[in-house]
Amino acid sequence: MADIAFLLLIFFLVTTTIETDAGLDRMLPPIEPPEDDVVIKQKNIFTVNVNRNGQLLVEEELMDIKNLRAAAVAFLDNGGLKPGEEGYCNYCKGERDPGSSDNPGKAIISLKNDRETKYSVYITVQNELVAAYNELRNREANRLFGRDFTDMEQEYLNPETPETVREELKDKVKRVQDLFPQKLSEAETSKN
Amino acid sequence: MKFSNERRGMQELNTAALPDIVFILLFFFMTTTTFKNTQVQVENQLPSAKVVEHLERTDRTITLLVGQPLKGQAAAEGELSALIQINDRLLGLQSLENEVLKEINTKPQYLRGEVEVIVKVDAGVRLAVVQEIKEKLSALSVRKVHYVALPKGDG
Repeated sequence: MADIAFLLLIFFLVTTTIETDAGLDRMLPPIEPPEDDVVIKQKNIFTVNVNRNGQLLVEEELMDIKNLRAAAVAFLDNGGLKPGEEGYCNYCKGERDPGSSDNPGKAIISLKNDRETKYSVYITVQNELVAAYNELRNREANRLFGRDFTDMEQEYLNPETPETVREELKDKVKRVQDLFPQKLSEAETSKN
Repeated sequence: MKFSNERRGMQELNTAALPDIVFILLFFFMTTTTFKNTQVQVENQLPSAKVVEHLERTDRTITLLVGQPLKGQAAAEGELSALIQINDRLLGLQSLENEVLKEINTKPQYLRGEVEVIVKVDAGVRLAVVQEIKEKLSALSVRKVHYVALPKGDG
């Protein structure tokens, strides 16, 4: 009896890992702004403004938070260039509206918040935008490799994954990320 | 013919030394384990999100709690009204840089360049505070931030 208890004790000692906090990962912008100003066409920018009451103004129109993800997906997946033009997006399944983004590589989401906005609203908006990227990346990962991108990324980041598997996953993860690069810019919060 | 009805007993494994081993292990873990024993001193009602990720490496993280103080020390008025808690210390925005720097210096040399900051911000805090924190962290060239949120429902 005692032996079994000890074995159990040792087993759990060895296998237990303590759960870390779940959350959204973000990179902060570098402190010095890049020297040369790049000109970005207005149609390649998807602007999201959040006011102090938590209302959203998306592309100059009032929008409910429920519709934000679909709107972001439509923008990123648009692929407005014509076949044959440089940068034509052959995997996009969007509207191909020439007035929206050229291709996912050029599409930028610009998020602007008010200083009085509540943090919970900010997280909800971030969540929807990350979800939009994940949705598209999952679609491509399923088409190319037959599994979800989020699943692949999680396995890649897990330090317990063997080195050989990691090397293989690295290329796949990179490839899907390059199809839909996450370009989410946060403008400085405005005073009013 | 003779049949012996005595069975051959199973060879007993000598486990006399097992308790010693286990006790040594127990003492080893008892002496080497340290618990983080910090009490939350600020209001910390976390927001919820669906597409959350878990941090895989915890050796390079610094945790900041941001919110209204629960008692005592009052926060500044207006949009910047929140205090920050690092370990057991409560501080205002103005001393954040120093304190984060101190925390970075407690990490081993090879991790100092890749410190990640876990921020647990109360859902009711105004974004101005978050913006200030982001600017201060980026001035310290800490680039990776993990906004803690409670996972909810389907993705």
